[in-house]
Amino acid sequence: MLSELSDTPTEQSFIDGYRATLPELFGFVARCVGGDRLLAEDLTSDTYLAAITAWRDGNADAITQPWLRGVARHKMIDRLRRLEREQRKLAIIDASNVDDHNDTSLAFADRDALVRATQQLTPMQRAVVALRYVEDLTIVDVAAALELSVSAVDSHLRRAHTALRTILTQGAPS
Amino acid sequence: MNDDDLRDALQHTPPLQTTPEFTAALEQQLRTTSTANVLEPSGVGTLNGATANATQLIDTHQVPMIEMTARNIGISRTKRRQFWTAAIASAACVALIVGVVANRNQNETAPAAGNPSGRGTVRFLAITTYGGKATNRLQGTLDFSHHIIRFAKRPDAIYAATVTETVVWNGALYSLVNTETVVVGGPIRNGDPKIASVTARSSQMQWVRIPLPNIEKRFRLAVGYEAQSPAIAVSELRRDETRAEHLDNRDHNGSEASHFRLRFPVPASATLNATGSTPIVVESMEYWLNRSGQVLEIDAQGPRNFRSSIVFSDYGKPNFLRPPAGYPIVERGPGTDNPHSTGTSVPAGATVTTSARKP
Repeated sequence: MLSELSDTPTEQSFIDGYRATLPELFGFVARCVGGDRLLAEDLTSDTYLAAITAWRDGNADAITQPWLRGVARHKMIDRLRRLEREQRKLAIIDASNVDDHNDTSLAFADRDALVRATQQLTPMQRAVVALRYVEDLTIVDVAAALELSVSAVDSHLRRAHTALRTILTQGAPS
Repeated sequence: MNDDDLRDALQHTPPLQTTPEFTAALEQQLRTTSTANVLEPSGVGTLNGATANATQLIDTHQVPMIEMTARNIGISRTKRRQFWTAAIASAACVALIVGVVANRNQNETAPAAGNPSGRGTVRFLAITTYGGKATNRLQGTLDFSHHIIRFAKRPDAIYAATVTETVVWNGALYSLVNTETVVVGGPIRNGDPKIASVTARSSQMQWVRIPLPNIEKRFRLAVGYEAQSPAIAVSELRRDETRAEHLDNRDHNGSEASHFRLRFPVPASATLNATGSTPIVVESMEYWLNRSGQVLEIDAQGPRNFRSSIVFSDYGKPNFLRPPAGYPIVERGPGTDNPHSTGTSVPAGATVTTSARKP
């Protein structure tokens, strides 16, 4: 629980709570977005601004660490979904790039490189990967969070794996 | 690489640490929004030497929107609010100028300082894009009686500007400018225009004259001011190849040329500015007019695909006016770069030449 934010509805209590929770929330958000600092800062800012809005509306008790993570998750989904829509207009996905990630196994050499590589996924792939592997949600839960079908989530995951392999072996997605 | 590899990498890589700058900046933002009902990023829009100082009164509900907009246009974090402010200032400036032009009554009663002769309100829609990436849509009304811009999404927020009166007359724009910054009080609630909450420092009011080459003739032709009928004016304009590149027509209702578009360069002094940010020079502007000469829309363009478009409606009066007497006139524009030079008073009905005065 985020007691710092909910005990006393004063400005200082909110700021104290902010200071106490920022590192963990920022780390969580940064993981979700593959270490993209700028995007992580944006989402973190949006989350705390939502928090202070709730705080000012008299809902200080509701502001907990899970609440912050939930808000951050929704904001990430909204952002990536919007990016996905924009990119969809710019490029036609080459279906030939898609294959089954279970068929091939890539030797995993560099954890950091893999995290960085997730930044090059499509926005929807990033969202799926974040929810599936950072949040540890089931595919069904991921589908519910993104309002997609289970098969669509599975498709995004397979494409993400393919893209990551390509990035790690060739330096850029095909 | 399998699921476990990904999960392990994403969950166990040391998380990024926040930077002190980010932590402090966000904390400051949170402190501001927690202690005050409003944020007040102020911006200044300067158009043809006429300055509009738009003070934003926004609460935390708008901050995410501001941030989101700024992010989309790909500018740095530190510039985001400044850009947004500048965009609003631009919209406010242009909206005021055009709106007052379009709405002012033909009865040329000289306005008293701080009490412009503009009447009623006019609705507007301002769309601003930058870098071709983002679109801001601002919708609201201008209240000429009280120099107030009211945005549809924030009816309890008000914006004030120093440009209180602008007319198009004899080949030039004339803007009545208060050289002091307008100070705005608290937000207006419940749609009740509690003007008492607005305090404005009154100071010298002066007309700023901005020569616009050939604008008077174009305006007159476009609205049939001199021609026998609007149709003749249209045909005359179409025959003129030089003007043709500056002129287009719209046909909203199937009738011929019910709207016109005029484009003219603005002086180099036309900038869009915000505190601490790099000014954006407005490179060209377009006016859309109807047959009555009322300005329906104004578009301003600048570098990096900057574009600010303001659409007006609810017009009531033609806008061929002349500046009332009683205020000194200061010339601005090419060749005149001294904003504080004292001009001469012009009596109502007097002729003012269109040539710019050298400093």
